[in-house]
Amino acid sequence: MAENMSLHQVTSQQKTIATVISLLFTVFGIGIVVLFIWSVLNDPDISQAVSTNRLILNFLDNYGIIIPLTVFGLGITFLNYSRRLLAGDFITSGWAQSTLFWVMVFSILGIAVHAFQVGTANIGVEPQDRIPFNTNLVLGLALLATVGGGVWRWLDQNRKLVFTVGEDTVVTRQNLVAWNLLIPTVVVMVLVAARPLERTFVGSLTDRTFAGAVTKEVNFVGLQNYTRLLGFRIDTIDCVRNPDNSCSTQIIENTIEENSEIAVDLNSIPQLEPAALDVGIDFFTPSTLNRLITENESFKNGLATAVKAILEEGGTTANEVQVVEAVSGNVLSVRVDGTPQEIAMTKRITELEGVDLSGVDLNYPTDVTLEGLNTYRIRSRIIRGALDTLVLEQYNPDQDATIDDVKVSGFSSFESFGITITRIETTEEPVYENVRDKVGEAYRNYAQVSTFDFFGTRYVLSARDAEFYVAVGNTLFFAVVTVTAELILGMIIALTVNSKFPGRGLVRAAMLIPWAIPTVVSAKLWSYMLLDSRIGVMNDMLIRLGVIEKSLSWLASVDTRIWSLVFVDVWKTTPFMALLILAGLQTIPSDIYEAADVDGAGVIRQFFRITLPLLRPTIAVALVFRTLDAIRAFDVFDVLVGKQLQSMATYNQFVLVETQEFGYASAIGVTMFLIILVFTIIYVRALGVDVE
Amino acid sequence: MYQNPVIKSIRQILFWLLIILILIFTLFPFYWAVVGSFKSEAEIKTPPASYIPNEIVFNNYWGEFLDPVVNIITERGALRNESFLRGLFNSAMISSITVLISLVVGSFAAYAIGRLHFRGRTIMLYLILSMTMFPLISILSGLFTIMTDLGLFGSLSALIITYPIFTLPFTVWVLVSFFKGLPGELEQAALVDGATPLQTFYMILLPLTAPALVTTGLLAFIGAWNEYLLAVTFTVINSNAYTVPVAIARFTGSIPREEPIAEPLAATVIVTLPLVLLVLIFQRRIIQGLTAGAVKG
Repeated sequence: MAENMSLHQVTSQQKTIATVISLLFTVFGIGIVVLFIWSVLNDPDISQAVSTNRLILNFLDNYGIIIPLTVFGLGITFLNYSRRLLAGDFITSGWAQSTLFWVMVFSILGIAVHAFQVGTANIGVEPQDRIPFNTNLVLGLALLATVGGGVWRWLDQNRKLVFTVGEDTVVTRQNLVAWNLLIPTVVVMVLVAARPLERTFVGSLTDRTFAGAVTKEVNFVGLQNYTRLLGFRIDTIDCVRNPDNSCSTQIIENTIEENSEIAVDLNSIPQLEPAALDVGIDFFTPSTLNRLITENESFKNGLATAVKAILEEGGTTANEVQVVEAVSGNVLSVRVDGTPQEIAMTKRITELEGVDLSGVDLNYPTDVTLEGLNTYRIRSRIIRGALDTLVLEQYNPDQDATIDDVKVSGFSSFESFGITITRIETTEEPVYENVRDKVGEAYRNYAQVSTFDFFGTRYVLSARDAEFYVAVGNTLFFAVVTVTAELILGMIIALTVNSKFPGRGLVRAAMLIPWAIPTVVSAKLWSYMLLDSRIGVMNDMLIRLGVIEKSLSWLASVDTRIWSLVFVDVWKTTPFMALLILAGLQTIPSDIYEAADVDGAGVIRQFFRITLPLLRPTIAVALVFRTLDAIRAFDVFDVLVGKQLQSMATYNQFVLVETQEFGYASAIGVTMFLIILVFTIIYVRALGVDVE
Repeated sequence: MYQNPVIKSIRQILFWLLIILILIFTLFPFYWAVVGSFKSEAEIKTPPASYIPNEIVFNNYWGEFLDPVVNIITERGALRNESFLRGLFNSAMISSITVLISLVVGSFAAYAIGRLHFRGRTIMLYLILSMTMFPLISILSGLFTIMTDLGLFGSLSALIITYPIFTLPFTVWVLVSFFKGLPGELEQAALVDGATPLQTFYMILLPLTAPALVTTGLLAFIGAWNEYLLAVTFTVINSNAYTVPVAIARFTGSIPREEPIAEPLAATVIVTLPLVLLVLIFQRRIIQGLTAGAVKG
């Protein structure tokens, strides 16, 4: 076909160039392989390897499998191109042309990256210490770019004339264009995903660490990291027997700490002396006193009378006393017969005779801060003791024997303070053997993870890395609970928002907001909302609503910690789940429901018979994405609870960054990869997710 | 169908109650952040929590506090806090570059997969899909060594190089569904006029997918802006390279032994507000983009 179309005669010069191009690909093919082998042989890690074992390890570590495969694949492909180009194959000429284009692009990119690397490394470095440009590298790449670019241009213009064998069809042309378009994506994916994954796999078989300034020799350790990570054992332990063969028991005291709040009338505490408190008389701060002095003439006069009485007690008689201002809560600056003087009050203002207190709010003026009140409580041992007695009396009038101790944790308001009750509950439990003693030497590297009873036998789960097992447990619990909650809540929200009502767009937009807020930011925000006392809005709201009686320490307490995480995650992702389901709901044609209405099917029946089956694909996809997200959860755990409660991801990151055990961290990474892979396969099989 | 009016109005009330509950559930934390950012630190730390600030202060955004004893400025509002501002700049830069790379590279690949027939198409599709579910954490240690070897550990470049791992597959995936949705007559007409597939792509299809590009770019931007794991791992040794999430997670006040609340809340609002605005403006598009891969319509 092409032969007949070519009106121009192919010149001998063009033929020569075509042959040179064909041979150029032979050079490329052999060159790339030789260059690779040369650089491997010159690599000190390879050439100075002491053993075969070490040689293989170093090779895998530095080059992996992807790079050699690509190099040899390209070598063979180029030789193939060369052969076909010599035969004048038209389709191959197209591939050759594209190849040269990419050779040019990547050569130029290579130069740019090198320039950037050298440039940034030299910023702020003394001239004599600067890293020089690798001239050979730059010149070589420049040469490659020029050759590639030149030949590419030439082929672009002369290809149709010179290469005439083979038919050019839409299919072959699309094939070529498609792969050219995909090359950037493939390159990025190989560089940032495939190679790191490969390195993680290889690294998990070594004992490489980054810790310490000295580079430690890396050893191939086989599956040692995995046995350390995954090694677990289940042992049965028996109870300690009495002589009559029954289990011996012992009384176990469990200390339970509860937070509570009790009401207290500050006036009923006689030891709460103004002087000790330094807050002021009856908790009047100087500013409150001064306000009363300036605003309330009779109050001022009352104070003056009181001061007179104090002076008289001290043996001084004063004709005229004028109160100027309050210096502190219980010291007044006065003028006694015109002479300035400071007088400390000896009685509470409420107990003073002749002081007009009408219109004065005696319920502790708000300008005494709680913080101040607590400071004075901490300062005075007498007050502390008095409060403790009071609290014990008030809290435990029935002399409940299980209450061991009650501690005041501080004023939570002016009428109440927080207390911590320590309760001791005793239970009679059988005494079990110690696993470590029973198993003996074989138990050396293990630590107990948990115990469980099954048909009257007690089993002990122990692991080489108990921390990892706990993290796996946390993560799986977190994943199952969050995804279930999100699915149910998301379904309810989606069904609600699906009906038509004014302002629906607004509600949908509002639902996007939790999704758009960065997880870290929302976690931080929730950490403030979940604060221990009533500063935390969560505690305050629940107390106001009467759900809880006293403040809970959501993030500090072991029982509530994981539920807080679940709640934060549910808040963040439920709206997203709802939006997915909503989009699925809108694809269900409404006439199905109309038909069901005519047939007399109820709402609930419609939901289970129509909505749910038709939503299945959407729910399946949403579940897959959400479950995988939950299994690899990092942000929420890291920000809210840090190292107190770890997920698999935070544990992995901790091992990598903090202890710098690269080999071990890689083993965790690979394990997580496999867990997620298994989950995906199970999901896709079970729910029949259709990719296309 | 006949419905009892009493039951109907009860249903109406319940329905609106549910809507209000949904709104409170989704919006309250954001409301609380905004309100808290205008409270004074003292007010925020006094129980019980107040739902409306007693006094509106702007210190958390723009304040400057002079310590009278040592006579130096000890505290600044979020908008004057250098490390936070640097975080904002870093995040904006990294996210923009990531979006640019993902859109350019991703639209090529999406066009190839969505519109062209070629050998290996299904395999590529599956590869890209598996990449969207790829657990970043499991290649973290591999990336860690590569970054250490390249001397990029602790630099912003490390983030620019690695962020396409999660934005690119996602971009391709969403754009493929958009390309598939375009009518086929366009290309046939172009083919008749003698256009090459490449010309068809950038002269005809690309302008048509401009809205989709905006959506995808926005989603990729939000993804990169919110990313934490890579950022916290690779910038751990260099606080100058902190992105916004890291800066916020590590927000420390200038008062020793006391963690501030009000100022980080102001920072939270500053970070979130642009996202909220974007979400409100592009609501329809974002939902379309998010659900493109998951729901067949």
